[in-house]
This record gives sequence, C-alpha cells and structure tokens, in this order.
Amino acid sequence: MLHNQSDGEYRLPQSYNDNSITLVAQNPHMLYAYWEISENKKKKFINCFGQELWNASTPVLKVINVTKNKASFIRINEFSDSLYIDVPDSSCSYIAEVGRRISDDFFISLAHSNCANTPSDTLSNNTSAVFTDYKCLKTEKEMPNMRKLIKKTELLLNNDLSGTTSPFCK
Amino acid sequence: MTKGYIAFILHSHLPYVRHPEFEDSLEERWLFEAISESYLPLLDTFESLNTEGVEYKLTLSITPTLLTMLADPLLQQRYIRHLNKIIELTEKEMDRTKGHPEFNGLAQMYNKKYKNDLHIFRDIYKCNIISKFKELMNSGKIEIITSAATHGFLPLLGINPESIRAQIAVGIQVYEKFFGVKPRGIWLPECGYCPQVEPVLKENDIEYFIMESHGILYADPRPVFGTYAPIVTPSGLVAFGRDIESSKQVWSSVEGYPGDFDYRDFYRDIGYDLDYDYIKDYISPDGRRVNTGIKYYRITGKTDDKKPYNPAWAKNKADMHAGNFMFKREKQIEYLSEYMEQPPIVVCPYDTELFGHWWYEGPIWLKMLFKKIHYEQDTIKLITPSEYINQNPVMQVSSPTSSSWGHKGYNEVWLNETNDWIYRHLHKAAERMIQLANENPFATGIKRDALNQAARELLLAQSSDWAFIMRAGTMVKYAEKRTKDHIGRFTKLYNDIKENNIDEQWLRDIEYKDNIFPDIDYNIYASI
Repeated sequence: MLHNQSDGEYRLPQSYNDNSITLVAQNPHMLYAYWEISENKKKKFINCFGQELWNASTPVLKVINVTKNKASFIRINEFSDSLYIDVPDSSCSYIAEVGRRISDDFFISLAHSNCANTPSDTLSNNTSAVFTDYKCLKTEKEMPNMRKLIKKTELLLNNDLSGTTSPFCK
Repeated sequence: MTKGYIAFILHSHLPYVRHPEFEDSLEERWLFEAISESYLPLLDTFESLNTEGVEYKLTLSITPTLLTMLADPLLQQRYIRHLNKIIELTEKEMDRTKGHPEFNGLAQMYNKKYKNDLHIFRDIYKCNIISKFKELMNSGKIEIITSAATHGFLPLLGINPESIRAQIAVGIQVYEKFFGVKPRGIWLPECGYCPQVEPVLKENDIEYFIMESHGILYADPRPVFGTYAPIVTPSGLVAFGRDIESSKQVWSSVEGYPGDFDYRDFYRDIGYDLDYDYIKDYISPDGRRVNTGIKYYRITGKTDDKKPYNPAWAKNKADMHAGNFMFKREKQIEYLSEYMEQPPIVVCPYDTELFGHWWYEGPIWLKMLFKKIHYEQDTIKLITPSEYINQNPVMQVSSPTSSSWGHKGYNEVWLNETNDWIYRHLHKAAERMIQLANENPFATGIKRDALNQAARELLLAQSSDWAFIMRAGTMVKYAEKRTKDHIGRFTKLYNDIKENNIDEQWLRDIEYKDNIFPDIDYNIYASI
C-alpha cells in the first residue's frame, strides 16, 4: 500500500528569491550566465538611489575578462534571467556582474558571479617538455633526477605528433 | 617484436531507470536490451577467447548506476520475465515466417539466442553478471575502472566542488563494494574533464583517467607525443587521450565499420513493422511501438528498400573489418615507434553498448580482432592503462584542457537551449545539500534517513543522461520528469528537514523508489 502511493507531480520553483548570478563556460568562446535579482536587492537600490534612477537605468551584464583585464557591457531585457555570451578569448578567466547602467561611466552592480574559465581551443605555444616519473608527482616527493629527465624533443615536435585536430565527436 | 600498444576501453553505462512503482516500464527495457545485446555477448566473447587460450587485455568501466541495477533482484526478475516474453514472440515468429526461409532462419536464430540468454543468465550466472566481470578482472584479462556515482557531467557541476567530490567518492564506494578493491582508474562521465576534478581524484587515490583527444592535444605545455603517450598533470594524475584515427574507424557514421551495408539494421524492428494487433503484447503497455530486438534486415544501403539480414555475410564483414583495423594499427604503431623512445599507446575508448546493441556484430568484430592480434602479428599488443603506466612511469608533465567527448568537444551537448534550465536548479540543490550537511553533522534516526535520501535525490538529478536526452530529442518528457522529480523530492526533503517536520510515509515511499546507494552518508557533502 505504502509503495504504491504517488508522490505527485513536482513543479520547479520559478524563483529561489536569491540575489545571484552564475557563470559557466559552454565552449572556448561561449559563456552561459543565469541570474536572479531579489526584490529585496531592488528595494535597497531604490531606497538608496531612488525609483527614478532605477527607471532611468538599463539592466546590463558586465562581463570581465580577468586574465586580460578588460570588460564589456551587454544590455539585457528587464525580465530576462539567462544569456549566452560570446567571448573572444579562450583559455581565459571570466566573471560577470548583473546590474544597472546609468551612464557610460556609471554602473551599479547588483550581483557578481563565480569565476568561469574558457577552455583552450588550440595547441599550446609552450613547447618546453619536462618528463618525470608520475609517482614522484603523485606522492609529491622531490623529483631527484628531474634535470636528467628533460629531453630533447625538437625531432618529435617537427614530426607533429601533437598537431592533429580532433573530430570532436564520437 | 612489440613496438607499441593498443588499449581498448569500453565504457558501460545506463542511467538509473528502475521503476518499482510500475508493473512494466519502458525505460527498464534499456537495461534488458543492453544485457541481451551487449553484456552477455561480450561476456561470451571473453569466455570463448579464454577457452581458446587467446591472450587479450581490455579495460571496462562500469558505472555505479549500472552496477546497482545489475545487482538489483527486482530488475533481475524483470529481465527474466522480459526474456520469457521475447522467447514467446520468437516462437510466434517462427510460425508466422514459415513460408519465408530468409526470415524464418532469422526467427530461429533469435529464438535460440534468447533461450540461451535465459539459460546463461538464470542457470549459469545465477542472475549475477557482476560476479562474472569480477572473475575476469581477477584473472587479469580485464581491468575494471570506476566512474562518477550517477554519471554527472562534472564540468557543469563544478560550481559546487562538493558535488564533484560526492559524485566521485560515492562512485568509488560502489566500486569497492562490488569488487572489493580500490580502482586505479576512472572514466570521467562523457570524458568531461575540468581541473576541479583533480584534487578529488587525488584524495581518492585514483591514478589515471581517460580524456578526449584535444584535452591532451591542447594541454600546456604541448604534449610532445600527442595522444600516443599519457601525460601526468602537475598534481600527479595520469591522463590518457583518445586516439582520433581508430575512433573514427569505429564511431563515424560515415566511414565507420558499423555502417556497412551487410550489417544488421538497428532501426528496422518488428515492433514497428508488424500489425498492431499481432505485436501489441510485446511493445509498450500504453500502445507505443518500441524495439523488440527482433530485426530482420541488413542496412542494405541508403534506401528504404531493405534486404533480409544474412548473418554469414555480416560475420564475414566483421572478420574483414577486424583485419583492416589491426592492419591500420600496425602501420600506425610502426610509424609512431620510429619517433618515440617509449612504446606508443593507442587508446581506443567506446561505449560498451555500441558493441551488440547499436552495432550488432560488434562483439564478433572484437573477438576476431583480439584473435588476429594474438595469432597473426607481433607488432602490437593489447594493454590496460594500468599496465602501461607500470611499464612506462616516466611521462611528460602537462596540464590538460577542459573538454568532453560530446559533439564539438566541450560542454555544448549538456548545456544548450534545450536543457540549460536545469542548471539553476541543480546548482541550488547542491548549495542546499551542502548547507544541510554543514548544519547537521551528527543527525540520527529519521532525520539522518531524510538527509541521506536528499543526497540520493541530488545525485540522481545530476545524471548527465537527462540533459543528453533533452538535447537528443528522444524521450524528452521522461528526462524532464526525472529532473523535476528528483529536484522536487530533494526540495521537499530540504524544506521538511529545515522545518524539522519530516513526512515519514512519503520518505519511505521515495526511499523505495529511489533506492540507489543504500550505504550513502550525506556528510560527503560537508563543505570542502
């Protein structure tokens, strides 16, 4: 009897009444952000700056490339809660802020995100090659013969064993 | 003389689709089909290779969800019921096709096959497939590795490091429970690597994992040997990269072997072809047509006019393809070995279910390939990743890049416009689970039960399969329902625990439905 009972249909909440923004990388050139601005945060803004400034300001995402120390703004819909963001740079760390933009120089952040890293989409230019017994790194022991294990690898690099591209699908 | 190695890695996974609340569940058929079409044929392959004295090595990852289902008495009994039903259908088919020898022979083949499956499963293995895999592992022929608890796609769960820790730690606990030892390697679900997995793998004594090719190729510094030698990350974990060339030969829908015109056509199944009144007792109880496993046609070509399947032709083709695969690997290894001081390794990971379920002749191909490698050449040898790193412990230090083996190579399959809505709920539930674990370190009684169930619901919600199915566009409603059910149950548990008002009857009901990981300890979610 107990085991036949239904635990019903579940509906997911529209909102968690949070004030937050989360950022994840979809690929080397695309981030995905979702956010929620709480009523409380909005009230605080209005108490502090006034309803007029809220109305006059535009909702934006500020996307900051932490690695290259540059930022850009993306205007968002007043009612939107997520966005895919094109980013030019792979192998970089990004954070995003959701907030209100009053003028070109005046942005008020309402929430800032975690840091998301875009993966690499190209061969590394770093061709230094250090070899070691993996057990040394595993056990965090010193690597006594590290220098001896550094190998000349020019021949191998010239033969381009690492240069093939992946089909990126199963 | 052996110049290099091939590492075959078969990844065996199904999401947790046990539905005791229904008498007959369509999704449980995924398990039954995989047992009949992949796991039993592969075990038969290994068995016959052993009997013939063929030396082979293979690595098998079996996910905790699959292990738990294979060990579940209810599902074992339902599999037997399923087999009896198919045997009944094949008997009807032998009668129906009497005047058509090209189909009648196939009906007899299926009848024999499913009767044999029943005998092997029930009478020989005593319903315990896992013990057979364990036996092979103990013989040293196959290495079994672990995976994340419910196959969570880790790069998109890393917002909460505790989620990654729980996925991996619970996965390892399940492995140890079934195999009695610790795994040396892990299959990261969907080959989904991100640097956040490393501390957790290290904490759990995992030595190696498998990556998509470009996870290695784009590593920093640039790996000198590409994917033909593993790299070691600065934290001491060994990463193996999938070989592009051998992957395409098997996976590619255009150039891959499984698309050969002589092989059995997966999509032409009597569940769709025959009159409804005739087939209705063997398809979905709600009348939806589904695969029955009885398929009479070969791929034939790019045509709807399919010709009858000819097992002898298909077997002959599998033999040719095995020879072709071996020849190409020999040439590949010969070339690579000229430039490498250590023997190259070609890593060939595939879904286990490709062999037999999708590619019916896959297990025959594998058997023929292993026999050819054993008898017909001495350039290449089969190896497991563990053996390779034992023999070749010196490797290049490099940091892999985040990647997956999904379409386009990163997170697109599991994060796109069809499924992105799940992440705010998954991340929130993880945050709440961490909060619950931190607030209740020593819970007892019903509260402890509720906390453990909350951990189960969260893990089940995190299966990569739901997002994948939403993207693939098949069974979307089921995937959406599973996500909503587990998040919904989790949320009710969260609220009940916070309010100290646990609904015991409801709790026992969902414990019965979502009974995975009976030994889980919610404290795994305590803050890192």
